[in-house]
Amino acid sequence: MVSTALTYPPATLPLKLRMRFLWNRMLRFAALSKDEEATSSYALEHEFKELIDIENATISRICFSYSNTVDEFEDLRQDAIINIWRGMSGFRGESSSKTWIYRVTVNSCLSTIRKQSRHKHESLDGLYELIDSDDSDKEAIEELHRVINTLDPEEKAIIMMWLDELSYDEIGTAMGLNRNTIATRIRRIKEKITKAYKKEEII
Amino acid sequence: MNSQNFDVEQMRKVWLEMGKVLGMEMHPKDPDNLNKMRTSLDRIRDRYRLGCDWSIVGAIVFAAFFFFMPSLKDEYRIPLAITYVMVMLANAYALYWLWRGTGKINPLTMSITRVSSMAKYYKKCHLLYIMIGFPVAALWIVFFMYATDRSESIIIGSIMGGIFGLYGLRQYLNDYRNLSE
Repeated sequence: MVSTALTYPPATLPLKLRMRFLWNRMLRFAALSKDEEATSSYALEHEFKELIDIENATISRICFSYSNTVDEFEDLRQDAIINIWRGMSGFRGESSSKTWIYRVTVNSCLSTIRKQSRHKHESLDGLYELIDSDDSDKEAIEELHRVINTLDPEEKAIIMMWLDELSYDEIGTAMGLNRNTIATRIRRIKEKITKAYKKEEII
Repeated sequence: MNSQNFDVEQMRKVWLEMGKVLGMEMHPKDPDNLNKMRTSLDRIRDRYRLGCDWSIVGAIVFAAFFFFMPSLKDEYRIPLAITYVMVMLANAYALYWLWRGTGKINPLTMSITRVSSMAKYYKKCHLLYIMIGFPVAALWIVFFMYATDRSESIIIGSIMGGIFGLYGLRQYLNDYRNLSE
């Protein structure tokens, strides 16, 4: 730890020597500060990259659920990464990293003010080409995406967190709602999803 | 997935599978690049700010223009200049208001419900701005054309253009209605 107190050289020293003493002290202070800064910046970058590696799938799932086209998906993912980086220094682990990632990623998806894609049905096919899986899994994923698409943005966030097995308290913290409200909403969302699946089957 | 056999575990399995097949390399960018990048919200705020600045500049620079334009009738110079400045300043204020309002949306610190309600509110305001702004601008342009040249064909053409414009405006009205539901 660098002492920030600048001790003044004795007044008995000649002026030139006193100035040199102060100058060297300031340089040392600046160099040490820079080293400390560099070390903490490196640690932050490393933490960020680790977090992205761990939560890569979660971020992709959230952005996919809020997208209707491939471009939207890429934009939302990019926005999420930028916001996660911006929030790294402020994230001190008060909530679990998953809850924090969910909140920041969903907020990134919701805070974009863009034109609604007019030809939703056509563009979904383009989006589904991103799914790299065998036929039966791909069909199930497409069906789940279409069903989730029938929900409004807040309902999507709640059901996604519920599917990821976050507790009601964690969902409530991220949403800014109390536990009982979350429980009621999840019940209603499940009813909506059941109806949506029945409709999918008919189609 | 058969809805009769619909169950939570099956849905969770599909959900987790979705993450695996979409979990492409994120290529975490170099943080120096990330520091320079802008989100969609930043970009739209930049456009609001730019529009506001240019509206103010346009109001100041071009208002005097109407007093020197040769094809304008004298009785229309002052009304045109005044209405032009009013429209430009109103436009600047609307864009400034949108810029300031969207700046309050903080995805890092706010809850999801708060961001959702604020984003919905400003999306509606954005649509309102277009639905009011474009017709006002179109009306002013018709007034301008009336003041420069009393040719009926230009006025008829403007009215027809306005009708087509209203047709396009319908799409914005639908978007507004969808957001309100």
